[in-house]
Amino acid sequence: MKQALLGVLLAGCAAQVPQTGILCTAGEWDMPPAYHGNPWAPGGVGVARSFVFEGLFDYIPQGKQLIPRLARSFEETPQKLTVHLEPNVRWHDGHSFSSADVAATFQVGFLKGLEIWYYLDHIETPDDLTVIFHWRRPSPTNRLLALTEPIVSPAHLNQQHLDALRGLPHQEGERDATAEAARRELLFAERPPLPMGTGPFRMRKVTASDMVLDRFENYYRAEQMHLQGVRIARWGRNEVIWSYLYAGQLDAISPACPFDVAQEILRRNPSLSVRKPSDMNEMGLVINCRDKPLKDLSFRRGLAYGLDREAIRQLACPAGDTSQGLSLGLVPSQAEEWLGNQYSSGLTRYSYDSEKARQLLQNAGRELEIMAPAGFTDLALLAEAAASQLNKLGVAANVRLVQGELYAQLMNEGKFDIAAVFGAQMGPTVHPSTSEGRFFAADAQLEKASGLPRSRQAQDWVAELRVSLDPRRTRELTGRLARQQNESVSFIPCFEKRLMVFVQNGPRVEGWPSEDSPLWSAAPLGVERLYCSLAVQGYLRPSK
Amino acid sequence: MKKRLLLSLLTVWVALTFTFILVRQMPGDFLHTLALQLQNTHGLAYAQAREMAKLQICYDPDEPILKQYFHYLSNLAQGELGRSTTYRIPVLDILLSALPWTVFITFLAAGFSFVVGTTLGFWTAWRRGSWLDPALTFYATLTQAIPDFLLGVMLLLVLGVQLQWLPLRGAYSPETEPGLNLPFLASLLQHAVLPVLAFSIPAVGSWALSAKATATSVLGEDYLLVARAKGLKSWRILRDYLGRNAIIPLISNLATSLGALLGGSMLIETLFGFPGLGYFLAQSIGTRDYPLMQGLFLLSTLAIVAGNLAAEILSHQLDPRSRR
Repeated sequence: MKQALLGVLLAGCAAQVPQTGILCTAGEWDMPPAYHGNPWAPGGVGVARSFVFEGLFDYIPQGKQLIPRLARSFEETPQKLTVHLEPNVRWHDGHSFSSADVAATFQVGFLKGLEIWYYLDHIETPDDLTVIFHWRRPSPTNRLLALTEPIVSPAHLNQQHLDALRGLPHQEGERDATAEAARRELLFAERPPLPMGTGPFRMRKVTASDMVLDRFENYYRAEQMHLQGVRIARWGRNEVIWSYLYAGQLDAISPACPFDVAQEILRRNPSLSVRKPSDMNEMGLVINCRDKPLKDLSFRRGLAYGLDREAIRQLACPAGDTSQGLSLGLVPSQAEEWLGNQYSSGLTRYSYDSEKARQLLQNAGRELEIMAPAGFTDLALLAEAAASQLNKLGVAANVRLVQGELYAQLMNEGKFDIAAVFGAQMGPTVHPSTSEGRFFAADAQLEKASGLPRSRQAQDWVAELRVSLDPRRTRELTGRLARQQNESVSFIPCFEKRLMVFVQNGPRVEGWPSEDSPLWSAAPLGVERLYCSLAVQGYLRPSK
Repeated sequence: MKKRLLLSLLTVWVALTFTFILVRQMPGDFLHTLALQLQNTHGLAYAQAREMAKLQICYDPDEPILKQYFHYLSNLAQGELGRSTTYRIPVLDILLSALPWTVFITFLAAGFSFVVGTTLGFWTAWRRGSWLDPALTFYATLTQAIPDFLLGVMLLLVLGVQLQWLPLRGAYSPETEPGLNLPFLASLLQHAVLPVLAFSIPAVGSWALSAKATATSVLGEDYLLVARAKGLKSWRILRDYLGRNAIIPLISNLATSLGALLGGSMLIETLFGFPGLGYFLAQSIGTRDYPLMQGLFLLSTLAIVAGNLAAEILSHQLDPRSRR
């Protein structure tokens, strides 16, 4: 009896460990029965998106390299972008892939507010393997928006939506919000059980705890790709992910991780190593400038001088790069590229100076609260460290962890003192208009949170920056916005976040590029997308 | 019996009325947040976005609360729990899918901890003054003091990571097909061990202390003295005289605790990626999904009330004195 029971348990254990050639990672998705495979509807597809779907090209920011995926090549003029597609591509259901599918994706994506429609006039498909994007507003970012968007809507399954979209005005000022909403609801109502794409992996099964993806045998680059499948574990909580890493159950993952935990994981599991690409974003503290004492610029300056960012960075993001006392609305590592090497001249640099801070922070008058979103280890630690430092400076401060939805709302309504947030984010375009837009665009959440008067002029600068093709003008506009941001002290950047991508040359997969490979610079654009790209390019192989 | 049933129905009504009011008093205006999102993503004016948000979540805060309440009750009477605003599927579908997993894990955990805990408690009472007595108190104090989540992480690290005896997540291996087949059932049991232990380890101590207390009170009864005087064997006295009498109040407690457990443990289910009610409760609170929240709270209320009712009926059946 005992032996039979032991046998049953061991048999279960054996089934749990994926075999060689299977890439194991983790992510989030809605649990069944909520799960569905509609990539446009809320909650659809989840983390499998990066493995099931692919774009026309993969973009590597370092070196600005474009690696062909569904497309072979492109040529462009300021008015149009012509893309030549890869032949012999098939969807997972066996249908041939063609230019109609690319057009369908962007057309259906209009209902979900794809940013490209700000620039795009229309799409032309002269033949099955050619797509032409005609621009209404030529811009430095529209090429990337077109080339890297995942192609998710097969034309043969979306005909009813394409028909419904016909005749719907796409230009601002003419749009019909009610008609769009009705068509969007139709789109959201579709709930296929599993997603269907052209990507190298096909979804086989999804449970509450695991996603199972098999190699797509008809993949057009199948001979180049060596992996047999992907297994994705539910993320749940960071503590759980640390346990999985410790146990060697993940081959690649990028969790927020305190320094001591990372050290211990690496010590216990020697087959793991870490890659630390920039996450193209900056973490810091946004200040609500509506009420005293934070309303006073001198008090905010005191806070900026009083925070030892190096100490904060060491605690909250050991792999990150400490901010050097400037808030430019740009990720620091990109500042020189967009502002030139003299970018800091004429700007106030708020380097750590506790004496100066004490003088400026004398009359706080009340206890300050630093809000952080629950579940974000790095932001919570940032808030803890900042509160502790302020207390040492004589400014009473405490930390409040708030759940996600409520956090966004409290920020929007200005019901907070100081909040730990992502500041500048370069996003998929790696362009200053994206990051400066977070502070100054018409719908800028950070400026709104700070409560400072909206600057119409700054909004105009951001709008111009989005379409500026003149590098000199781009630099000038970026410089003006950076100055305005820095001198307002509404946001105190603490560090540029670097991802800690744990990779395991272990029992299942090997071949991860070395730390200095430019490929890692694509991680902030979607780390799972990068894993998939590495598999397609043939870097990742089954372990011997 | 009729009176008890009526009282239970009244309790359910009071609880769901209270829940209805409470969820609307939670901090955070989800409608406002959703309207802002729609405004940004769909380029709508705020008023239009708010109207759209109302339609999307089938909730209109501008409607008088009394009207909302009667609307809710009339839907409920027709078995209509509404649609989840986050997942856009009927709340009932979610409850029916998640409930069996929570029932499975909580019944297993409650059954296991009850059997082990009461046996331990009776034995300790029987062996009063032995080393078992302080050991049990120490164990119960220690395990009650450890937060559920921390205990779960410790189990995960020791049994899952270090010793690699048990799977770390999920309700079953995705390589098996759910159904009446041996690989699936074996996988199901194996995956249940960690969450069951996380529920049971503190519960065993608590049951043992309660069992010890009730058994100690029974130990002074005359019929036990008579049994001993008759020279009956210890195990028989323990089982037939002590156990049978001391277990009656504990069985009522078990029924009540089962009801409470059915609400699902958010932390433990999240930790082990278990597809029960706890996960959906955590998500619904985070997204202010009122229909789903109300559905889950209603289910918890029904489970607790049913547990209490079952406890009363059981106690009535098991204890002849209560029938006098």
